[in-house]
Amino acid sequence: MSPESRPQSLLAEVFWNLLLCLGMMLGIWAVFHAINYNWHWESLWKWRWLILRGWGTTVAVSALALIISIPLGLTLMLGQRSRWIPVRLACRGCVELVRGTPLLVLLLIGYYGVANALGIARPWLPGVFLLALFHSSYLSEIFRGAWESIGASQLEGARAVGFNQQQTWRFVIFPQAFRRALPGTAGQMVSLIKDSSLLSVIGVEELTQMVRSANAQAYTALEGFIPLAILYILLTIPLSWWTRRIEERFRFET
Amino acid sequence: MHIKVNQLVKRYGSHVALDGASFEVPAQVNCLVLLGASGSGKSTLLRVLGSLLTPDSGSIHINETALGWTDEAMLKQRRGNGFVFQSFNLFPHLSAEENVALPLREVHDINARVASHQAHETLEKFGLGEHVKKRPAEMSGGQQQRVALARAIAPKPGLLLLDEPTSALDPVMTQEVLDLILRLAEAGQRTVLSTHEITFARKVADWVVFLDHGVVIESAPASQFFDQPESELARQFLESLTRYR
Repeated sequence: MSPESRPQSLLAEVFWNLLLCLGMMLGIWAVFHAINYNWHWESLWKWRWLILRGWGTTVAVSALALIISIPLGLTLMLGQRSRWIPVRLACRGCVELVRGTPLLVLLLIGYYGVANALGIARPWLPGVFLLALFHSSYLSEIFRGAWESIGASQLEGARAVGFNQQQTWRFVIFPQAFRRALPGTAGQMVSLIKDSSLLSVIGVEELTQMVRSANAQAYTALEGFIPLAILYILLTIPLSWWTRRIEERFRFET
Repeated sequence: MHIKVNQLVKRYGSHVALDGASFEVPAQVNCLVLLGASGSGKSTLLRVLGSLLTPDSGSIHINETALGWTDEAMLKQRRGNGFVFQSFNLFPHLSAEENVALPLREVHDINARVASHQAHETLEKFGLGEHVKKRPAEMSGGQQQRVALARAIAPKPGLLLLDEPTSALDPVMTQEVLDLILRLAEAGQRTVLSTHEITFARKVADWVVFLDHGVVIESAPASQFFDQPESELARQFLESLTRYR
């Protein structure tokens, strides 16, 4: 029986959730108590709109990068299976190169080097593209694993009922690979949202950048990072929850 | 169904699965049974006969027409055949009914309502009326294999090819499936069957092709093969299969 389907009373779940939250808050309080931290929430409060504007940018940048990364990842995966050697090598090389480089380096070279050479002044444009590229190289490996996990007997079954290649892809490979790629893809999406914080190094005014700026102007040190964490969690938790729902819907035994 | 196979060769890397297999089956034969030890080339021969695999060389004529080996020709030929495999090969994400109806709709251009009606009817006929909405993992091996048989038979194939359809089943389930195959064969379905169920083969076969190491050792009417096999190899094979039965 999967953990999700185990019968459990709602009351027990709420109780444990509350208890764990309380424990966590106690832990956080203990840490700041130990370092004798003096909170100055009132000075940060003046800069709340700045922070929220940054959050808006983070949502927009992440959403765009998400939308681009999935077809890009699919393309890189298909490219790696191409019959043409140059296409195969180019896609393989791209995946290895991008995966092997820290996103920070990719952003610095991509923006101050490539985008500069191309005369692109707005940082968010190369920022979104590089963020999408970085995660699409991981996605392509997740997709490849899901596709290759469809066994030879399934492909033979598809041929046996008379499916051509497109039909095999559409009715046999895709629906099964989709289900298997979901958990990995969801994790990658959560990482993408958090990685968007790195766009601050090329001057995109996203959440992390704006919190730093608010902290600086309010003469606070750590106050900004609590709402920062909460605002990221506000994006990633619903995403995880939503993909879990989809997983449930497409659940089947093999 | 007149079948003429000439010098069929199929290699997998350095392994030779078919090593110049040749035989001829007369037109009045309805059920052809392929016999031989594991690794003798039965499954490969069955797949080449059904256009699932391309031979490296050699030719096959079915009812005086040569099989073609281009992708398009093989797809067209395959679409006239029905297959059942040892490991069922049902689509795990689809219900029993969808497993049968999907190829009817997508491959045989039957409209959705008629396809699902036909799927239902075939499954019902195979004793699966109450399982139509179940996915493969929710059914027993015998039920799954009967769904696979329904999927193969629903488009009314010219040739039904069965590759050791009961090798993965326990004796009770084996009997369920063999009963169905016998019913189909008796109703005139042209069938090629590879099996180790020697008693069943004896009952259903009109003609037997006996293989060893990719070569046809004997090709004979069933009664003649079972009563007086010509080769020593076939005699030993039959003896070993019937010893404890």
